[in-house]
Amino acid sequence: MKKTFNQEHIIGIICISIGTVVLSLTRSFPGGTGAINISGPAFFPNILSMILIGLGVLQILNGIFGKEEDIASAAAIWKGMKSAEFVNLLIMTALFIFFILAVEFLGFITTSAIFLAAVNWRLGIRLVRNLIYTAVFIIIIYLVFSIIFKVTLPRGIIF
Amino acid sequence: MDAFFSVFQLNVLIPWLLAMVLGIFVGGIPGLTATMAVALIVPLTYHMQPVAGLAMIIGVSFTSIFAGDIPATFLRVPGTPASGAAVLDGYQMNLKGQGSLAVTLDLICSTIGGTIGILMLILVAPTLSRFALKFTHFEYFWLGVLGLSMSAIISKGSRLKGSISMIIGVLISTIGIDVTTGYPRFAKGNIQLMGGIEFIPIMIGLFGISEVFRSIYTMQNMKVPVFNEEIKVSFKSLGKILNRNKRLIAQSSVIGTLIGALPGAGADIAAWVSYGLAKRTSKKPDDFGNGSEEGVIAPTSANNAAIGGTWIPALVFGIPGDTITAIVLGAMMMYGLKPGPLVFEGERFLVNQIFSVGLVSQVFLLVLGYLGIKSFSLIFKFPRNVILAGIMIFSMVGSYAIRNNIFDVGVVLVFGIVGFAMERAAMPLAPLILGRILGPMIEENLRIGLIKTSGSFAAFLNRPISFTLFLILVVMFLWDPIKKIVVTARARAKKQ
Amino acid sequence: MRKVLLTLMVLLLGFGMLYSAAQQEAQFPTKPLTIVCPWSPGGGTDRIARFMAEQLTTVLGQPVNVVNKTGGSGAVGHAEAANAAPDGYTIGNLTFEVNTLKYLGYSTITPNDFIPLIQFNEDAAAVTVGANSPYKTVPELLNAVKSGAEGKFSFSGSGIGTVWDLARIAMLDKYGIDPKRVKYIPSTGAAPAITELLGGHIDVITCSYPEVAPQVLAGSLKTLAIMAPVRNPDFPNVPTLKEQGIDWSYGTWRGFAVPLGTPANVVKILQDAMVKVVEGEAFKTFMKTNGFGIQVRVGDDFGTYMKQQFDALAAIFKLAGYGV
Repeated sequence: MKKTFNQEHIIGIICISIGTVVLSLTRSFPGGTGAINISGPAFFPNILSMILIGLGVLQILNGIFGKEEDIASAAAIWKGMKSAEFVNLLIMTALFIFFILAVEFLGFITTSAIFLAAVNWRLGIRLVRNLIYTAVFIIIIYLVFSIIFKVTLPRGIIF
Repeated sequence: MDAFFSVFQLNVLIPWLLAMVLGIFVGGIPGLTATMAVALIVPLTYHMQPVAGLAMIIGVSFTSIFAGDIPATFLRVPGTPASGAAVLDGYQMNLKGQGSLAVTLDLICSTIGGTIGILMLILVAPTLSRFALKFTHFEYFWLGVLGLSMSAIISKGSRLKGSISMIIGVLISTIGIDVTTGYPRFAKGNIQLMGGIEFIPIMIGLFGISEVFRSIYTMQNMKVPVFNEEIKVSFKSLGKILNRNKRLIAQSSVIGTLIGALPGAGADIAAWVSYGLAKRTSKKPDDFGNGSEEGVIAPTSANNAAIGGTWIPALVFGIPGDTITAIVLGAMMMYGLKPGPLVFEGERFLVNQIFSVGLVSQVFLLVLGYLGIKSFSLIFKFPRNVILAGIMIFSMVGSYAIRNNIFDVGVVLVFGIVGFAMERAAMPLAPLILGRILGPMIEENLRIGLIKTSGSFAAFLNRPISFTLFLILVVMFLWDPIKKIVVTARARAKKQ
Repeated sequence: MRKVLLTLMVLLLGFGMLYSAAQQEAQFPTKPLTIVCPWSPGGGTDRIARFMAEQLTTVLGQPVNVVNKTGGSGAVGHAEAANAAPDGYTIGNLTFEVNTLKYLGYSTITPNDFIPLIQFNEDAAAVTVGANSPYKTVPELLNAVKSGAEGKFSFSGSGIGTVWDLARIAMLDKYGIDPKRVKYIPSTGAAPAITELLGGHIDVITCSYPEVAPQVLAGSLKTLAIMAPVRNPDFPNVPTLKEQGIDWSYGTWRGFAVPLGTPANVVKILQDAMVKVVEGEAFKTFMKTNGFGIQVRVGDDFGTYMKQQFDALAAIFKLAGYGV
């Protein structure tokens, strides 16, 4: 168990990759402009990504040499994930993305009605209640944000 | 004394109380900030007398910062930036069924903190603001580092993972236009990234949405109300808790006011720093993060105290201590007042009125805050699934409202997923937030400080305040080893 | 019965169509308008925008809302306004920064992406030093800069490539000083720079006079000159740079514009409404109490002004070595 590939390795690898990507991106940054030549815009991100790579290496070492119970105590991200549960997450994420993409086109009211109704349905609220809750939420949000706080909620083709 | 009674006129009281009620909403809903509320209120106050307008602004600041702790405690969604630290122990207390105790503690400590902040504003404002003026890039740099070092203190579990989380937070803060050179970093052609990643959507996603995802993921207890029990608190037990934490409340309030008085730092930093210091000075540091009462008291006292602090440079020098007082200084001109050093001397009556408003607001806060908690608790009569849907839609619209930008809703989603994954991997979330808040403070002050000194680091150490801050930092890091040495030495001495 | 119902429905439908047709032919505007403000709520630009919105609501007879689209040193808001539907319902609140976005590499938006409506404000840059600074005029200060060691003087005022920074660079250049001889301490706005100056951590700031006025009146700072051709009647005691022998004026401004392609009749309606507002007494009082300077340029005058400024900035940016 100890020597097998575990999530400590993954965290370490993620750190090292983020660090490497940052380091490669900052190569195109200018080296300080005008009167400011002491430290250009790449200075700080470079230091950070080097630290991050260092921490990533430590993390991998931890995954190899660390105490078994320490590693085991942190359940692996994927451990015990059932497909039904995973589907729930995917649906919620998809609905979120739908909201983001559609709201400027369909408008706030239509989009959030669809979003809320779908979320409520997935969470097991029955149809009549679902519609009532959806309507109430939209009315409250419209009142608070649009009327009281004068936030211009996106208006779409219908509303 | 005339000034004190003059605030009790109907045409001051009514707008004042209305603003304070509004503040409860502002704080309770993620994404709506006190700054937004003040910007909305100010144009309405042009036709009122100055004290009414100022009372509305002061009132809304106090109630909203307090109310931000309510959703932070019950739903793990920080209602305002300043209540980020409140999710740590408040939410843990809630999970243990002590949520109502936590918010009542929040309320009482907020009023105490608020009062101490205002008292310091009344008593030592000129001295404090002259002290604050001594702070420049060198001092702010160390202050930022000090704050960031808290992440090592506040994180539960692995220090290594806490540091990774923190570094990622700081890295995120480097996205967008670099203040020192004006260069847009990591934003090739993307105008949204150029503005940087706002920290409120990060916080809402990381704490709030990740929790929603976790509940939805398991789909357990969906149809039962979140709380069955009535939200009520016995004030008897409260007295005991307050009494045993009186030193902590005082400590956190004073720190909160001091940090608030610095024009370069505000209530959010005050809350985190006082949380970290509370853990450092606590006798039971291991309880922090597991629902410790001290962990609730420290940040909530500090963030309300910081409000009084932000008014110190504003009233004495006409320098804004935060975004709210910046708007206030603009509004003062509309009232026909010239903000600046002359106000403190020349408009003594108005200044006294502001003091009175600040103190009386604490009494109002106690009452309105209690009603706020009561009405918020009605929400929990609903089944969990309804509340989850509500948190999602409010978080989305709230984060949209920060800059009317749909991009920020995407940020909420991304950090919701990141937070979910991080928690499953036992990575602490708080250091990432802290890194995002303090990253710019550290980077800008370091680099601009180096511009000032033409590249020499000496000024970061050879100035009295910067050196003191550096010393504090060293002591904080060496605290544990020192304590160990002292303890073993004592034990040895006893043996002999 | 059925026939009656049918006739009724046809009639209703007919009326409905007529009504909507009439709506379309009715004069602009027939729905609420939006002003896109590229700066945050509560700031100077936002406060003026909200005031203008309130006034325009009465003149145009439709609600006018202000939406703050902040970020990217103004890039987000200006781009949003330039890319809006050219129907006149989205008005961009332009500020000086629209000239700099392209030079700084933030956006491809330039003043040429807009149809200018009106400019209603201009605030000159002021050169301000600490109260116990030995210099009484700008030339005295600049002579000291010239003869002093390189990097002896620290200037501030706002961020890199902002109007106050550019005003400083050009002023130094006009006086024959390499802008790199002084240190520029970037800040996130005038307020933090004023704090630094009060604390004695820097030597000179450039920002608008109303921003430093409270400190100057209290005697903790002193303004040497404003970069304007003539003295400002609101603060006649402050000399101009021109009086002190340096022919250079510069400042920030605010105005309104709509995206390219907006119909000419719509532009005319908006412009007339805005002219009416800025000629009103309420506008003048508002600007005066808030310490904002009034400068009105309508339509092409405003456009030409922006374009000249935009072209002239190429040299200033080159001098400073900023941007792309």
